[in-house]
Amino acid sequence: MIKMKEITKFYSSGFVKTFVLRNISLDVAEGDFLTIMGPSGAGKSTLLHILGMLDSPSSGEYFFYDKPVHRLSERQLSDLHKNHIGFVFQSYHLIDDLTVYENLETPLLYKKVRGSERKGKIAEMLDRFNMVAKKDLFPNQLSGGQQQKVAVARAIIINPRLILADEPTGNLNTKEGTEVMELLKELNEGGTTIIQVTHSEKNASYGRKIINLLDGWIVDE
Amino acid sequence: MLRNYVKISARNLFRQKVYSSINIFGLAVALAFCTLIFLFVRDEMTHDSFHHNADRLYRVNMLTKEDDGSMSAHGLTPPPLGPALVEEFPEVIHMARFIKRGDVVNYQDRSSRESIALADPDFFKMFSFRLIKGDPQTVLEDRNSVVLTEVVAKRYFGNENPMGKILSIKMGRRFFDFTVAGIAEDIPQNSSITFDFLVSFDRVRDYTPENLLNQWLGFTTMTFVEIQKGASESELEDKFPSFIQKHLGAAIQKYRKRDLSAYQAEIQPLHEIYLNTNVRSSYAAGSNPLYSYILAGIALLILIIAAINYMNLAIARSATRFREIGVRKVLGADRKKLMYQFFCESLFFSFLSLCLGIALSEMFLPAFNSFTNKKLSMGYFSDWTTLSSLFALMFIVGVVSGSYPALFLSGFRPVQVLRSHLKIGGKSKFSRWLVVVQFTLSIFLIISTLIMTQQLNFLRNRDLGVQGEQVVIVPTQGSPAGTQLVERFRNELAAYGSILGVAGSCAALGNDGTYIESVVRSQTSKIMAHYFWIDQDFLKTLGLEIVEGRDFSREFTSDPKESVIVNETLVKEMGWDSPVGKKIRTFMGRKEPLTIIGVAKDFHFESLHSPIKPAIYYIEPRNPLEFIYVEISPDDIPASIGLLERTWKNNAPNFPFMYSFLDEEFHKLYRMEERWQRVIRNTAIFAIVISCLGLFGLSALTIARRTKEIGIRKVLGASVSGLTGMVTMDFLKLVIFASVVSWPLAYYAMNRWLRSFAFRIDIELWVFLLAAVLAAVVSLLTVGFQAVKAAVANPVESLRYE
Repeated sequence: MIKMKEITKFYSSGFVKTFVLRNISLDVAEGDFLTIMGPSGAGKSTLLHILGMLDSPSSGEYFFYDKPVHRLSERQLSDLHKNHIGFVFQSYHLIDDLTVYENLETPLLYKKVRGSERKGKIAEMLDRFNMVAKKDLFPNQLSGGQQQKVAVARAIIINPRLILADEPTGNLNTKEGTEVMELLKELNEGGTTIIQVTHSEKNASYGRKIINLLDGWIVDE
Repeated sequence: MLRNYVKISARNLFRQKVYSSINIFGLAVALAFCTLIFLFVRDEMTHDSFHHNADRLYRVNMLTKEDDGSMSAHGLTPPPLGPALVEEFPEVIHMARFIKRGDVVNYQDRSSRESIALADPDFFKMFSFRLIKGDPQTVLEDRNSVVLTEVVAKRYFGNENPMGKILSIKMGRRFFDFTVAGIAEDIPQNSSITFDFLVSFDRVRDYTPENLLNQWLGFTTMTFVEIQKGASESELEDKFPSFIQKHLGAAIQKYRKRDLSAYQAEIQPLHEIYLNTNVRSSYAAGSNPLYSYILAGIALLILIIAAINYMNLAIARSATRFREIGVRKVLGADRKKLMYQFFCESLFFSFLSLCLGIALSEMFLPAFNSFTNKKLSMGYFSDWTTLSSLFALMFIVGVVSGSYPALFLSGFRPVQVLRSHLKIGGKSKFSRWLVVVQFTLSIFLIISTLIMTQQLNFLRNRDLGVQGEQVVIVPTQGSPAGTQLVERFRNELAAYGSILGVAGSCAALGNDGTYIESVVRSQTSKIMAHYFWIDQDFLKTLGLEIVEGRDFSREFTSDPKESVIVNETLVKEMGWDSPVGKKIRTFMGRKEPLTIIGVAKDFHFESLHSPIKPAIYYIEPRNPLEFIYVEISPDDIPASIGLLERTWKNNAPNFPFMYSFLDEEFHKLYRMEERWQRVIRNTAIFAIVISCLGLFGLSALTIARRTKEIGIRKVLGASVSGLTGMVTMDFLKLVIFASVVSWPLAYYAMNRWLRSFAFRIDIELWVFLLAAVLAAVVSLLTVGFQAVKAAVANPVESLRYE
């Protein structure tokens, strides 16, 4: 599903190049549950962003379903990721001015899903996550765990083949964290590929594969 | 999708109440201001366009050569000109002469002074004034008919049918009966030709001798012509020189001994009459287009400033939405969709501003109307231009102000935005310049307001040299018995202690002052002087001191024949040491020289724009006295006025009683200046409000950008007051800079304005300082609030998400 060859990312300020990722080569097969670990500043989030096509590498090749991501236009990228990729962030990143219902609706609107179908999908999600009673609340009226559940629901509502999770439990307490991780596990068992970034050994144990990053290098696999 | 966007804009609006309301309100105020000015300017520009034949209607003007060789235009023409034009030029298909005069109208027991217009029978064929009752073709042919406007008919007859009623109208020296034979729809307020009472032009014979009516050298009537469809204006004008030669040639050579080229004629399109101030003497209303230009300029400036302020605030607001933009991108929004969203949002906001703006302009329209003396209305449906231009304006402002977030923010990569590594809007030098420009304008206007107010107070409080407050002027209104009327007033009022003196004069003082200026010649020199024809009590009643010699007195029977009193300025200009006993020759009526019996103290009989000029006072029994001056005691003025009214009713029952106070008449000389002062003052208030909104926007933007810096400084130990000071100083510098820029501009402009007054205040330094301090205080209040808020905020908050 994902093939990365010699991906390098650096920022240049003045004459100094700061390397964030160096020569990363990576294969992810459909249905994998991959965990990226490493200390702060190792380049975990950057790698995740490149995987999610939110950022582009400085050099190297990246194939997503055999499509050369590094050569696609902005528009094609946008199409690719809005149809195949869901994101979950540490700080949830819900839109504050929209209700739970509307937050779930937004990706469907961008995908131009029709009204009746949209309603059905949102109802299904609300049901699945036990959030029917909360559909008209705004994000700041929910607890962190609930917000993250909405974020996960929003990520999977488009039936993505790949979910990218950036420290999904970082802002949650243990119980909420476990819930979210169980959810991801469930999705993975249903066939969705998941790549997560985490500090926590416990969370890492949900995955089947771990890569460790240090100063931009993959240390071992 | 659209619904989603509107929803999010609306929620944004409510979440950020202060920002939103300032943003919407600022733009709304500017839109309202522009709407009013637009209505005003459009009204000024479209005067007289309601006549169906407007493009074929012209006024004939006479051009005469001035001493310096230039030609000056007169709106009045010789009476025989109109008929001659129709007779000799086939392309002139109609003509109407038009005269307006004030005279007395009596109906039953009421008597009032009204404006009476005279016009030729074709008047209603040429102009589109509609008659509700009566036959427009014939109504002006009957010399005993009068046409009234609806309002006037209502005023006189209430709900009764006015047709056929008899009004007694004074024409010249006598009263005549007129039958109401037509009712005209009220004159549109954008008509420069207006009338209340309209009678046949033939009535001019009632007060003008026949020989004057056929006189080609007396310019007394307005002449309008309608030319045939397709006829050329310039071809007609080309034939005028020979026409003038034919009719005026002989008379010019006989009386004026001037070259024939000194006289020319032109035709002026009807719609050009109103805004042309070069044509002298006319019965048509006119206006200086300078007003329109200045107001339109100010309105445009304010709109641009408000739109850019709005944009600044919009940018400041959108800074809080970076995360939303990032999230939307992650969720699959492409750039186009985000642009669409931001444009929708800003159009939504400008639409709200437009609604509020229209509401505001409706609210201020009555005040604006009374202020400009107009009857403007929005006319939403009768006239599509107002609404459509407003919507166009809204659209432009919406698109322009939405363009920064739409074009700039939508282009960011989501990672950048989500990590909020972003700096908003660069260093925004442009915004800072904008604030400087706004405050320069504001401070300029504040200084102007202060100086104009000072000068007007100075004018009002200056001792004019006469006692004005207790002198009542009663016009005798062309009564042939004016002189007797003064006599009777004097005799009947002598018994009352509250009446201190009664005098008469041939000319009014103050606002309606029409003075006769002519040559006065002594044995050695010749100067121009104002002539005052007065009676023996005039100088005493007005409190004019005699500094040398004596006042007129009834004991000297020779006074009316051979005595004259002069003012101090005349003595000075003649260079006399002992004026009393000197003889002067006058050039109005008297053949024999007059002997100076006294010198009166100078007083300001003209506005303070001009210095005091030489004046002579003498008694001219052949001219009837036209104004009664009554000095009353300061206690119980209403009772004294009542007494005057009773005396008037006893002696002149057919004439309305009218009066005014001398000081009021003098104050009216400065109506134009007062109006400008009000315009400038209101604009100054307005400019300050708009500038503060701009400053608010800029400071919000800057503080948003510096939140992190403020947080770090606080962690490092900066105090709240120190931080507040740091932020506000930044803006104070801009205001100080703006003051320094505006000072020379204001000094220059006000110096020029003041130079039009012969008597004026000195421009003082404190005015400039005060204006700067005012602006600084207002801007400190605006910025300080936000600065304190930012400085007090917990630094943990601002640093958490970094």
